[in-house]
Amino acid sequence: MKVLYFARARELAGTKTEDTDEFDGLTVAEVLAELSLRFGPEFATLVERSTIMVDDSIVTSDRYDEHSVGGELAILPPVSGGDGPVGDHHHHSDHGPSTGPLRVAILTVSDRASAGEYQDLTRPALAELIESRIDAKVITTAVVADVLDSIAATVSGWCDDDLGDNGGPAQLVITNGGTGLSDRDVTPEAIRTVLDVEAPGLGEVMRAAGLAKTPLASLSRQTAGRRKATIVVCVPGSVKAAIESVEAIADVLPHACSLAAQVTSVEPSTESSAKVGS
Amino acid sequence: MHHADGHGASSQTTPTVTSGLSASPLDAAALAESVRRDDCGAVVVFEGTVRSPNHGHLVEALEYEAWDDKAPEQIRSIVAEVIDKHALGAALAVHRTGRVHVGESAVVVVAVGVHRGSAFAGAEELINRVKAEAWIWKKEIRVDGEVWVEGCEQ
Repeated sequence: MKVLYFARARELAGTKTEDTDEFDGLTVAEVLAELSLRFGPEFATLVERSTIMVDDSIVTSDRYDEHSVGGELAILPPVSGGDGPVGDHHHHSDHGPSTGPLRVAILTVSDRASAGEYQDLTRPALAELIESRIDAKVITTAVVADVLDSIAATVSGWCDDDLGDNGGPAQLVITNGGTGLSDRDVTPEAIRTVLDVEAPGLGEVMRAAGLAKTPLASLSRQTAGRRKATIVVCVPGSVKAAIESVEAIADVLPHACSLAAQVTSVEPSTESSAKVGS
Repeated sequence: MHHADGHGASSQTTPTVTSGLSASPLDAAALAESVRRDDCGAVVVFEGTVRSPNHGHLVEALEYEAWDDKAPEQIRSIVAEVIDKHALGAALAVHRTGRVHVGESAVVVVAVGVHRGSAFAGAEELINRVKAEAWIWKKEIRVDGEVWVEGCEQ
């Protein structure tokens, strides 16, 4: 008998096809159980989502027991455009605050976007990234011009006041844009006026990630810090640089936010154990 | 008589391209050219291109794997069924295999109809069916790793 493996099944089996007589006379269920034992739990769960074809006909799972294998058995994982289970598994466990998804607000800083002259694609890309990488939910977004007071007012408002959904202020604010070197690039300056403490390490990590791609990353002024119980992160305006920056710090963001949540008792939401010193 | 029959006689000679798989880059214009015909007034071309970012991940390329023995024949029968169902003058669907970089076409479908209604409907059904039914898998090659993509977000 011949077994055909495709896509992820092929990778897990380590081969495209296998000719063997050890499955002769077995049912489909028995063969799949045997293969799952051999190739491990990921293979086993993949098989549950896969289509099984025996000699050119599909065998539905309710018939795995009655159908014995013939000349060829194909294991066909869900195709990319099918309506099977969505494949983008969230394999990043989050150790963030236990009070549900992190509340995120995203601010696009751009003269052109605020004038409606062009569509900012960075903000939706950042929203997708942050919601897929960590346990987070984007609650609100906004666009402002490259004006120091506007940036400062929006960000401090998000840190201090309820976001309009009665869930409290943002726990994480991300700004994109205004981190270059022109005289319109004032985001880091604006943010410094509202931060209680800076977190320079986050900026360093984001620049280091960029430097791995281009020396021009050294001209980028990503910065971060905390205002009250909120972490604020400033990334560049381009989709690529913004995504790379947030990717670089995504794993520490939940922890940063839970530290921020403990620091002040502006929002006495943690009535339980946290006994903050002094 | 200005209502030509979609199945009627055509100036077309044998199609220069057959539907199925291609391991080399797709030229949508050339594919469209190969099936257009004078008695049809609508040519709808759909190109599915590789996009980055996808779900917030920077994508470098998609790696397509097909069941070589089955997928071409599958695609050709989908094309034949769609031509029949929508009374198209001609149609074509070609899917890439191997590595396809950001911005390149992963799949091209062309539907040629007497009028635009059937051509649009035919093209949409073609791409939907090819994506959902053909034994073709894709792996997203990301900056931060690789992942097989199952299911579709249309």
